[in-house]
Amino acid sequence: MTRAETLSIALPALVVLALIIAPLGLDPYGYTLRILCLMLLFCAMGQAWNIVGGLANQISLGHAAYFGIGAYSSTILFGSFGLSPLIGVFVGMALAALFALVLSLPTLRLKGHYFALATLAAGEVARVVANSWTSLTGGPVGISVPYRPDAGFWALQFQTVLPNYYLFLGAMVLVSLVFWRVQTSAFGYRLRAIKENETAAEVIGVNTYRVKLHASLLSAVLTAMLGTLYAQFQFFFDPDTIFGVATISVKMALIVILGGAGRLYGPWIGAAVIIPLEEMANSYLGNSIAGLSQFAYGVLLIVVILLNPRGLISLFESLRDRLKRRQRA
Amino acid sequence: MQATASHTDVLLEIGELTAGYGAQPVLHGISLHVARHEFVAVIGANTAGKSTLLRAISGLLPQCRGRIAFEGRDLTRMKAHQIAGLGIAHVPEGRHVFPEMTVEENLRMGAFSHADRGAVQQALERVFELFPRLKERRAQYAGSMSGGEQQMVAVGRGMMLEPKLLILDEPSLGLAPMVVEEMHQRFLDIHRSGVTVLLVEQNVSLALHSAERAYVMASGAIEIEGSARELLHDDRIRKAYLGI
Ligand SMILES: Nc1ncnc2c1ncn2[C@@H]1O[C@H](COP(=O)(O)OP(=O)(O)OP(=O)(O)O)[C@@H](O)[C@H]1O
Ligand SMILES: [Mg+2]
Repeated sequence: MTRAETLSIALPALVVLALIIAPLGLDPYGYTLRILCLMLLFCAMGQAWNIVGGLANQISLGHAAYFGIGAYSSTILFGSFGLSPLIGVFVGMALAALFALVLSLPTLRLKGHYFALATLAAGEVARVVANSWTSLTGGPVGISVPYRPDAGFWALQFQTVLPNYYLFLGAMVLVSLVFWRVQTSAFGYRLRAIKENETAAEVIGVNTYRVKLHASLLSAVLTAMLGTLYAQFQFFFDPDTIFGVATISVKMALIVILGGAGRLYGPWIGAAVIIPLEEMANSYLGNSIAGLSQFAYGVLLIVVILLNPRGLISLFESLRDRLKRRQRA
Repeated sequence: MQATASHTDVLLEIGELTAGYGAQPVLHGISLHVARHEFVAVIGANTAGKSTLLRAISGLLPQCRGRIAFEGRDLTRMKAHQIAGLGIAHVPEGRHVFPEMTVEENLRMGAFSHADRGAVQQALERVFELFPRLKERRAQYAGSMSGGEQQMVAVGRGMMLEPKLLILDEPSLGLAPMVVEEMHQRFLDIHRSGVTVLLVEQNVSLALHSAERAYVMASGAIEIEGSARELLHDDRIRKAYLGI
């Protein structure tokens, strides 16, 4: 193995090790641990988005739909039928795949911002439906996950935040491994070909529609899984947050684009920057100014894309390259 | 017997093709054919519809009416990736490489139809033989190559398919004269190796010296057809395109 290869395995392994150890010194009910949980969750969500948004540059602004479908499916099944979220999660994943399939038929042939706008609209449709289908979702007042502390792991509920933390860490590692597997496969190369030159991809025999569809389904299914985990962590949510444009959809895209789209460590970097920043902003400004974060995300997204479309990871890389050159000189 | 033989020798046959991008068609009833192992050029002024014709063949146009048959199979309802799978490699106008992949990755992308590694490796060696420059630069990102090199990558990637028909759309556009000359030598090599070539070229003199037969397009229709040698001496062409 070359030094670079050793480093590329050792570095993420160290990060994961640090993440395993980190909470041991923290208050298991505490605020810091909750922030770390959100960081891992959003990193995983970004990674799921990265499969199609990053590799193929299909900028979806509607991934909240899959997230919300996952959260509502397991929560409703648990609340109404006592079905364990461990099973409900798969129902949510299946429904999200169905939604992705239906959405893909008209949208996957769209290019660039038309695709982004269509997915944005689809996410909004999901939000409106969840708000108005009161008999199923409870409507705008939101829905609670029934508290069953006695049921233990079967209910996916815990006394402290710590088990949630390790669940999120596991999910983050899992989704990252899926992304890495895709990225380094022939399938991943086809996705990159679509991003870099769709016409060229078509004429060399890539079935661009099918490749995009498969990536979208995979991305949707993973996002729905994370929706269930989020529901079990929060215990309460409403349509406007779970299907939110700013709270979920744009945040997923922003985390990836800020960190580095199409790159394994893009969402890691993005989530490590965005989530703490957001918490700080919230504690200073308070949640009082509704819509401000929405506005801030929009502005941030535009600024990031304009300033450095390759993301923060490219800054690290150019720094590394410069160091290397200096070493050689 | 003779008739049957010449009939099966037609690799690509287009009849009464009407196609375009929206409501207004760009091509108005085009008919042409390319025989197996032939080298055919299509020439014509800007906006004549040459690229549109090539896109119609390789399935890049949403709708077209008429007949496009490749080895007797109807292409009009097929998708681009299916048509590529039949052995038609289209090298589109403008250098369509994958800029953030290396030269070798670009080439390997072209070999999807090959099932096993051995076949891919062989195809790769053949392309490197054709363009030794690409072998030297195999680890370089395609986006950082010169225009001529990028065009070699695009052509080489097409050849990775080991196509029966190679379609080239203005491969010499914007390249230095020396490079253009070199490129055309390679096209002749490719043709000699048994590949049928359909070439669209702005440089009419060069096109007619490379090809065996040619079509002249104007305003979405075929205006003149003939052997390259005839056309080189055709007064209409000498006046309009060769400036003599
Ligand atoms: N994507 C497109 N959408 C709509 N119209 C197009 C498109 N591409 C080309 N056209 C139109 O079709 C006509 C023929 O264009 P085409 O590119 O086929 O010409 P060409 O003969 O290849 O010209 P050139 O020598 O400049 O490459 C032109 O009038 C052009 O404006
Ligand atoms: Mg053209």
